[in-house]
Amino acid sequence: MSASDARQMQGPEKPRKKNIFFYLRRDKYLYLLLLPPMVYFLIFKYGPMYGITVAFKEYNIFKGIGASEWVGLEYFREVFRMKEFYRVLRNTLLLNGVDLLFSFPAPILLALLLTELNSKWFKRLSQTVLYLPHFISWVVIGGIMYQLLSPDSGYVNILIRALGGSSVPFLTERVHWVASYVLIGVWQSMGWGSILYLASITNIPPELYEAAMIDGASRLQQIRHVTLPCIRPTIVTMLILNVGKMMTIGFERPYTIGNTLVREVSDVISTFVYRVGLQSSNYSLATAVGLFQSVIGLVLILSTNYISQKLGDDGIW
Amino acid sequence: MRKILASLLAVSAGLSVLSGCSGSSSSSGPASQSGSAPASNAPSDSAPASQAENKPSGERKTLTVEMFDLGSDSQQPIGKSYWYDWMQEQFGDPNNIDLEWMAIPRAEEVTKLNILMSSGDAPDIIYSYEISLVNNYIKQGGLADLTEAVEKNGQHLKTFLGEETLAYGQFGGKQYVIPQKRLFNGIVGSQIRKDWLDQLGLAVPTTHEEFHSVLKAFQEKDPAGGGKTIPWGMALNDMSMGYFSMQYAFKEAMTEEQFYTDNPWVQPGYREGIRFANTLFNEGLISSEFSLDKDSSQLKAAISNGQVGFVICNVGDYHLKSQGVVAALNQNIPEAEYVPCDPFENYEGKHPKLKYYPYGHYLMVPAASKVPEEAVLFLDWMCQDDVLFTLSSGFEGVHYEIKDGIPVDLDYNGDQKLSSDHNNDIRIIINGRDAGGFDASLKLRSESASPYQDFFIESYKMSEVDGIVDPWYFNGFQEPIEAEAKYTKTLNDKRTEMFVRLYMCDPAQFDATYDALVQEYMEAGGTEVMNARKEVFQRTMAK
Amino acid sequence: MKKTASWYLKNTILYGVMVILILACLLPFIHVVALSFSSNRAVTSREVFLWPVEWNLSAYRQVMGDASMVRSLWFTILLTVLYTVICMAMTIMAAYPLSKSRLKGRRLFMGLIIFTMYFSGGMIPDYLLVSGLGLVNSIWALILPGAVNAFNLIILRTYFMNSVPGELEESASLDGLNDIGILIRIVLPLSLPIIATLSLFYAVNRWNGFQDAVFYINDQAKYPLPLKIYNIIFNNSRPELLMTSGADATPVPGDGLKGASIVFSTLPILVLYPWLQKYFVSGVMVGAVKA
Repeated sequence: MSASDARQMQGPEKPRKKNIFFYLRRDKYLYLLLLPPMVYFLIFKYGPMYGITVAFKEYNIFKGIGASEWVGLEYFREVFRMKEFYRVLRNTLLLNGVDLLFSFPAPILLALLLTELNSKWFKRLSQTVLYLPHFISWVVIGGIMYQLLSPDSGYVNILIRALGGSSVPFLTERVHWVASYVLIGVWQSMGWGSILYLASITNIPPELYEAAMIDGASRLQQIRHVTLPCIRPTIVTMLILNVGKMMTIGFERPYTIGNTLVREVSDVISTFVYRVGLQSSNYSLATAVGLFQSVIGLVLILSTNYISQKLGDDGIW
Repeated sequence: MRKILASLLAVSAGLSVLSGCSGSSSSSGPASQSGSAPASNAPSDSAPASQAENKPSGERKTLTVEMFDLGSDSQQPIGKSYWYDWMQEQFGDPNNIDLEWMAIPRAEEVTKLNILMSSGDAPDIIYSYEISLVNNYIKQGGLADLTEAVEKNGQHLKTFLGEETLAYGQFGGKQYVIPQKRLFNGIVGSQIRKDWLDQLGLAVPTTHEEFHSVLKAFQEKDPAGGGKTIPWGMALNDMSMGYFSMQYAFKEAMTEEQFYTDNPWVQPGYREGIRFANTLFNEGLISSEFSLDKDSSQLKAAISNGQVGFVICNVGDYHLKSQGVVAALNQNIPEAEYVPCDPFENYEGKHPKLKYYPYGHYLMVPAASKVPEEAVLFLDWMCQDDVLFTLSSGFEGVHYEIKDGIPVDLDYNGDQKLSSDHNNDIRIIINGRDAGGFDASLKLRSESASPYQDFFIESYKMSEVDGIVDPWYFNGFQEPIEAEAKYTKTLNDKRTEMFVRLYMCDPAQFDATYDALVQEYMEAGGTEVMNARKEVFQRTMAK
Repeated sequence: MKKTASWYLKNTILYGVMVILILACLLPFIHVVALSFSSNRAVTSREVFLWPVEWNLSAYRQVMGDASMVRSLWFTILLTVLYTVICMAMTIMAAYPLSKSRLKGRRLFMGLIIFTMYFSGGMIPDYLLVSGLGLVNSIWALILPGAVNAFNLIILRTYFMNSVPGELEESASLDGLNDIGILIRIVLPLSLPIIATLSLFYAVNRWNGFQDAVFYINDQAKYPLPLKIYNIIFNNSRPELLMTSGADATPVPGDGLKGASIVFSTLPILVLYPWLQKYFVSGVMVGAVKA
């Protein structure tokens, strides 16, 4: 409860009706602060928002969006008629789902591990090194992964065969590929992702740990009862945001790690849109698919938010 | 200083052109150029005349021209280097036009062009290699009809391109596109290791049975050593997989309609070509991981290390020279030698393979442009022999000297340096350097393949033998086909997948797999495209 | 601390795991650096593993030797700094008020913002807007359209809501500070770790991002460095391009150049991060609460 709230409660004769001007006056600085960012959103986000209508039109880039012919749900119908679409939809959800399962906890665990390190210099070193994969472009990562994991020429398989085993189809068999896809994703993002959690952990007052130690808590118990609860808001926020992204998927990772042999699982909405929409200059179709993704994404994020609020967190809205 | 030199050049250029041309290579330093073209290319005396006729009075117009940004350091700064100034002086100033240039990154050309067109910010002259983009723009009414402008300002263009090529730019009777002239139409360059053949006492194969035995011999005898021999090096791209050569050789006789409208999968004989590849793959004669080699990096490494016997590449980029493979191979295995080899013969004993249409990219003028006539005038100016020659070789004595009738490069690195590939990026009206006559031009081109000139010439000639301009690969009909615009990319992807599956599957399953995959292909849009093509074909033939 | 057997065991496992992770992250990067310093021949023949083969600076010369590259470098640095400062300021200005439950209309504002995370006009309307504002080809086209990242905003807001104790703000308010004063004097100093983090996110995104420059910048001199490098690598090396244009053996940059470009993109982080690390300091609460 802020000071101004306190004042308000103690005030003798405050007028009963609280019209908008009251709030504007009371929190004028807050609204002032909010003004430039909201203007930004208005201009740069809502300004072009009419572009969504492209999904409902026969878009002619010369006539412009306004003058293009209205065709209603035709492109949606077209997309939903394509067998391909359902396949890429399934793949997107599958890959994102497995990703969430592994790529989401990994940075948290890593952040916890890092804070457990006693040696300061080792901790510094680790932090600096662990985020390097984030900076290697996916094209190069793809190249490296194929050099390592190809069935015949991949170094890992050469090693395996030398040790008497047989080649593992890391990238050429569906199930193996999904596992490789996810693990590569974890490798690439866990370091960078841990930065946020580390920042949150930094903020935990040391007195809480001291109190816990006095109470005889082991290190593990301290983590469970101090660290995790304190960074819970960050974790929940990130979880909500990531669930909200389940319908979208980056283009580069599936494209560079995928190949023809596993196309059945590696083809996702983004590669589909790239191929069918953008490469064929079929903007209406691309926008229709994008709109579909957006609606689902919004529903997902709002539901997750609702659930988390029911469970006691602040949520994001 | 630069300005003074430039204007001196302009003046002397004007003088030498006006005085008619002697064709001799007299030089007084940088002051003389144009008109020293080889004998067969008599510079048109009409050039100054027609330009003088067209000299407009009145306001100064601005003509913006697209220029691909190649991102290479050999490309001179767009709009800000000598040759752009030269064009302004030679064309812009005499015609009261300000030339401006818009750089567009090559890798994003379609997206960027679409955005510019949609906002009306596009340059006055645009170009692209994508026929689907052209079709789209025409369909949406975004291109200017240049028929009148060509009549008025395009006399040189007509002679230069010829009626036939110019007709390729006509859609529904209107000249929406000015096709770029392409000098070299051969595409497929396949080659084989001569030193291995010699070592094993074999001749260069000319039929596919011989080819099969040679590959087997490579596999058995392992000339690369250590079991690393790859008889047929293949990567995941159409060229490498034999789509442009091998498959044609297996096709049987067919009607004209089949040729134009049936997709390759259902054309007679195609199946056998794929089966042949399947046999080879299952015998271990093809790169086992070709399906994973999306960027050819594995193939490159294999060739560089001397492990590959036979490979199919773009003839201009023989065994991937542009990717440094030739240089690497020479250093790693100096005794390695490739020779051109065309082992796929068809039922008539011919060696059919894909060939380009005689044009390159499509030059267009947006409908929103205010200067379509000036745009055509510019292209018309550029295609004149002397202008083109200067643009592609520079000034005699400075950039080149004539030897054996062709311009041979001198080592010049000054301000007037030519842009990449002899100003290839600037010469938007022609793809390739014309040295006056095909043989001379081929010889000239082979110079850039030094020290493999002879190999290159032989390889190129082979690439044009029995060349087919396949209406399935290039736009066969002079009108946009809706179904193609919609499905081509999907079908192309599907095709790649089919190749992979069919090459790699168990031979016993081949026919079943083939039929199943073709069924999928047809369902993914193949049927619709075929029907659309049939409809257009019948309509065109009925005329 | 008692160094029992379990302590040794725990630490061995811990450090062991860390070492494996470090190697997994470091080795590929070393490979990339090695590629960038190797000769073309060695790179093409795939002879490079963790150490440069035939030491060769041509990739770097290509990237840095060009005067236009160096200009582009300065431009990109300027752009990144400007962008980060503006973005961070805007994000703070939005996150703080929105973290206050007493703000009327808070849900409305949050809703509007979340909506924009999912629905956007698309490439062409975006371009038309930027063009209409006269920003095409200017540095602002690369700053303004991305000025607030809703994702970062939400994270910051969550942080403000949970990590800044209300008592501090109360006592400051009693001292006569208005909301802006509280923000600047109290809240921000306590939020340095998260601000440092988000600034890092913004900076890295801007430094490595170039998709927008493809559309909004026509002047080669104003290409951000990653775009120039991307052009070098990709304008000539796509197989389809080679096919349709009948490209005639123009040398194509190899993986060594890709390696150099990655090193370049990592540089700002390697430079910034150690400097930023000092903000990831605890001791946040020391002396803040008045008795």
